[in-house]
Amino acid sequence: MLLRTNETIENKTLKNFLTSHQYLIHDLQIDPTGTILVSSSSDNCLKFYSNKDSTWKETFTLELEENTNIWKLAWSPSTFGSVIAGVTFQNEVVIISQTFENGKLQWKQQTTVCSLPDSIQKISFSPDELGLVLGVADSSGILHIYHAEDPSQPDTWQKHSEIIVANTCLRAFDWGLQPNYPVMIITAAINRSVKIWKFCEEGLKWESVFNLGIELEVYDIVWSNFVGRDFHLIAISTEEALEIWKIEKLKNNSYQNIEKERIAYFTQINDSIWKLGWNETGNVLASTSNKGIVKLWKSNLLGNWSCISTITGNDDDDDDELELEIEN
Amino acid sequence: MISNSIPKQLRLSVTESINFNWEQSGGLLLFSTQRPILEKTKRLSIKNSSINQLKWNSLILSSTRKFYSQSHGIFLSLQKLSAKLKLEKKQKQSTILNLQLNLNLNERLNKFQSDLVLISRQYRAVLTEYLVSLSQKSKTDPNLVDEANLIGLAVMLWHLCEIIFIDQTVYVTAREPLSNWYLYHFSMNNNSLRQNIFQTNNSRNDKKNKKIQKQNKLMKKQNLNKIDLIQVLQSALVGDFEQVFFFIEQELSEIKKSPNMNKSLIRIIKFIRSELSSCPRDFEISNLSGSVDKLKKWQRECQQKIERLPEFNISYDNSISLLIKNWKELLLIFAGDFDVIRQYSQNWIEFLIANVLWVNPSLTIKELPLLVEQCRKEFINTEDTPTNEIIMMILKNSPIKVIRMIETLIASPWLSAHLIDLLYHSKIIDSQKITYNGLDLREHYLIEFCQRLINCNDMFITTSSYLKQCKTVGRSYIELFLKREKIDSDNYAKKLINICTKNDLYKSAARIKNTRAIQLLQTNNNVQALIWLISIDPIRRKNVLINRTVDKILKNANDLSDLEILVNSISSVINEKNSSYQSDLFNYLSKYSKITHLFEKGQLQKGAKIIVNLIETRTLPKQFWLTILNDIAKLISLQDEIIFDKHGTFVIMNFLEQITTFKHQSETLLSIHNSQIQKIRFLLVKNLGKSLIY
Repeated sequence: MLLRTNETIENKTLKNFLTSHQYLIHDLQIDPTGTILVSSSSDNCLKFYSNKDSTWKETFTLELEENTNIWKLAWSPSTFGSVIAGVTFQNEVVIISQTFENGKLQWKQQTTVCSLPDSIQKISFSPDELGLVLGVADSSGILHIYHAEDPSQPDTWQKHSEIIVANTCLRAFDWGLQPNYPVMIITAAINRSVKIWKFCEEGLKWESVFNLGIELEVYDIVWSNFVGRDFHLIAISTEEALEIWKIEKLKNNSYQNIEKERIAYFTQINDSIWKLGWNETGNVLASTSNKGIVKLWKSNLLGNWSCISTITGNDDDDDDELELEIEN
Repeated sequence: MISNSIPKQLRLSVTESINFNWEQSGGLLLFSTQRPILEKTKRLSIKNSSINQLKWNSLILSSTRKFYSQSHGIFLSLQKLSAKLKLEKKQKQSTILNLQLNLNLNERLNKFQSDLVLISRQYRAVLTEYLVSLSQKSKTDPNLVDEANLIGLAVMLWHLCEIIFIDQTVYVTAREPLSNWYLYHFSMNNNSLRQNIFQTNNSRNDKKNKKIQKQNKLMKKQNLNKIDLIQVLQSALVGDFEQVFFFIEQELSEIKKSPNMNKSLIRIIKFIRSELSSCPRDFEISNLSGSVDKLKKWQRECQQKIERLPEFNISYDNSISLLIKNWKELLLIFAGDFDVIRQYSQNWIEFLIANVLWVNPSLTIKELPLLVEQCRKEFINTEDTPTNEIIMMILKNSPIKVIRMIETLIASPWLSAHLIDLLYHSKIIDSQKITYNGLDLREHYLIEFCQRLINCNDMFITTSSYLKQCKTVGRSYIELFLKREKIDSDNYAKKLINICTKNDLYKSAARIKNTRAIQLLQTNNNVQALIWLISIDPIRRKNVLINRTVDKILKNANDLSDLEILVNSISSVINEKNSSYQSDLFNYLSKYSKITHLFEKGQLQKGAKIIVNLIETRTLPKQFWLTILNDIAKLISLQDEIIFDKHGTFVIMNFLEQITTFKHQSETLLSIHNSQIQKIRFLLVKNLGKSLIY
C-alpha cells in the first residue's frame, strides 16, 4: 500500500515493514509503553515486534490454539504487565500474556475469558483504577465486564458486572476517567442512544448519568485522555458525520446539569467513518473511512477543528476487487 | 461485521480500507484491511501484510539530545532567575518604606534585564552549535538537509527576536543590530537562507532585473566581466562593505592581469576604494548623536561628489562611463536617495535595511513598525515567503503573532516553546491573557514541545522538569507520560518514584510500585515483589495481593533462612520508609524469627514466653499452628528443665482444646493428626506437673 499525504509541511517520514503473516492483517495494537507491537491474522498466529531506533522488528511468533483466529486485539494498562485480550471468529475472548518459564518471560495463550452467543463488537481494557478489567460489547446490546482476581496471574477471570444498554447491537463503547471520580463508560447502540454511565462501588453496578441526545446511528466512539483540562473531549462518528463533543468536567461530585456542547461537525458525503482514535494527549483525532481515507483532525488556537492531514491508499492499484478464498 | 458463510470463489467487491493505530511517539501505524472482516482472507500480495509507519518530525540524533539537554539547562536557569526576582519583588512590597531595598531592587531589575539578554544569547549559541553539527552531518546524509535548514531559520528568527524584544537596553537605534543581523544571516555565502527570503514572486523587479542584466552583459563585453556591479550595489545597499571591497579587489587584480590593462580604469577603481574606506560604519552608543552627525556629514560629501561627477560623456571609454555611472548610483545609495535604494532592493527587507542604514540612521527600534509598513507597501505586489511574514511580525513588534506563525509555518515546537517562555519572563507578553483550550499560551507551547521531547529515549526526567513549569496541567501530563514509561529495573522505578514524590504524585508513585511488584511476581521474585507492595501507602495498598504474595513465598520457602530474609527485608522497608505494615502474618514471622534466635542462644524460656504470647493474643496465623505445636513438643520432650511455666502450659492446653474442637471446620487444621495432638497433650501434662512442683 503506497501512502500519500497532503500536508504542506514536508517534515515526515514514511517507512514500510513487512510482516510474515500469510493472511491479511486483521488488527494490530501497541502496548501502552510503545515498545511492543502485536498483530493478528487468520494464520492462527500472533506476531510480536519490538521497537528499536524507531523501527519495528518482528521478534516472536505465537502460534495459537486451533480455531483461535483473532480479529480484534486490546492491550491492558501497563500496570499489569503485558496482557492482551483477543476476540476470535468464534465469539470468544482469549487472554494472551507473558509467563516465566525456563528462566525467561514467554508469551502464552492463557485462558478464555468468555464465549458469547452473540457476535462481539468491541473489547477494551478499563483504566487501571478499576483493576485488570475488560469490557466486551456484543450485538445483543450488553456490555459484559470481566475482571482478573489476581492481576499478576491473569489466568482466572470472573464476571465483574454488566450494562444492559439496549435491545439492539451495541456498536461501540469507551472508558472515560476524571481523577477522584468513578470510572465512566460511554456506550453507543444501534437504536441511537449514546449514554454515559458511572460505576457505583455499592452493588458493583453501572448507573446511567446522562444521554448525549444523538439521533443518528453511531459507528464508533472514543473518549480522549483527560489531561487536566476543564473538559472532556469525545469524538463520535455517525452515519452522517464526524462529531466532536465537549463535556464540562465533573464538579462537586455532581452528575446533574453537566454542560455539553458539540464543538465540531463534519459531514461525510457518500462515505462513513468506521474507526476513530485519539492520540495519547487527546489533541489530535484520527479517523478512517470506508473509502480508505485516513484523516487527522486538530483544533487551532481559536478552538476551531479542521482536517490537518489526509492519507489515502494508492489509487493506481489494479486490484480494486479482491478475489477471496474462503475456507468453510 | 463478520461473515463466515460466503460461497467459495465468489468474486466480491470488498471495501479495502486502511486501519490505523497511534504510536506513543505521535506517529501512525497504517495497514491495509477489509470491510467487512472475513476469516481466512489470503493476502494477494506482500503489500497486504505490510505495515506503514508514518512519523512527523522524527529526527532524533545524538546531537539532538545534546541540544535538548543544553537548552533545558538554560531553560531551568531562566526559571530560577525569574523566581528569584519575584521573591525579591514580594519582599519589596512588604517593606515599601525601605528605600535601600528599593534601590537594590532597581539594580536587580537592570541586572535581570541583562541576564535575559545573556540567556537569549546562550539559547542562540546552542542553536548555532546544533546547526553546525547538522550541517556537517547533512553533507553525508541528505535526509538531514531539511532539519539543518529549519535550525538555520530558527537561529535567524531567534536573533531578530532578541534584537527587537529582549535587547532593548543595549540598542537604542535599529541601524547597527539590524544590519549586523542581516549581514550575518543573509550574506552572499549563506545561500539557503537567502533562497528562503528571496523566493518572491516579483514581477516589477523582474522587469528591472532584466534591464540591469542587459547592462551587465554590456559591461562583460567591455572587459568589466568579473565584477558584477549589481552585486556591488546590492552589497552596498545593505552595508556589506566586506563584499564590496572583495569585488573591487577582485576586479583590480583581473584588470592588472589582462594584457590590455586600462590604467584609467584602475585609477578610477582605486579612487572608489579609497572613498568607500572613509564611510563611517560603526555607531558609538555612548556618542550616538556624534555618530549620526558623522554619517550625515559623509552623506553630504557623497552628495557633493555626485554633483561633481562628470556627465556621461561619449568621449569616455564605455567601460569607464559605465563604472562612473554605477559609482554615482553607489554614492546616491550612501547619500540615502530613496529612489535609487528602491531601484536596487530586491524585496522589502533589503529595502528596510537600506533605509535604516542610509535614509533613517537614527531610527529607534520602537519606530521600526512604521517603517516596516512603508517598506512593505513599496513591494505590495510581491508575495511573501512564510519566513518574510514572520520577520515582518517580529519587526512590527507583534510577539503573539510571531509565535503563532512559527507554529503554523515552521512547526518547530522547540522554538515556539522556548521563545514564548523567554518573552513571558521578559514581560513582553502576558500569556495568561490568551488561552488555548483553557491553557495559557506559554503552557500550551511548552506542552507541545514536551510531547516531542518525551519521544526521545530516556528524556522523561527532562520532560517532567519542563512540565513542572506548567502549573495548570503539568502534573496531569507527568502522570500521563509516567504510564507509558517502561519500568524494567528497580533503579529506574526508584527514579520515577522520586519524580512523583517531588511533584506530589502519590497515586502515580503507588502505581509504579504496583507495576514493579507485578513484574517481579511474574518472574517469581516474590520477596522483592512483596517489598514493593508493602512500600505502597497504606490507603493505596492492595492487601489481597500482599497476602497472596506472602502465601506464595511461604509455599516456596525451603527453610527458616528464607523466612528470615523475608522478615528482614520487610523490616528494613518499614524502618526506611517509616511506613506501617500491620498483619498477623508479619507479626508472627518476625516473632518466630526472634524465637529461633533466642533458642540458638540457649534462652529457651524467653523464646517460650513469646510463643505463649502469640497464642494468647490470638495473632498466630492458622497455617503455622502445626509448626508451633511441633516446636512446643520438641522443647518439652528434649529439655529436662521447665521451659513453659504453669500459666504458659495452661494457655497451650486451651489452645490444644480449640484445635480439637474446631479441627473439622478448617482445612488447615485437618493436617494436624489426632495422634500428634495426643502426644502433645501428654507432654503438656508432664510439663504441668513439673511446673506445679517446682
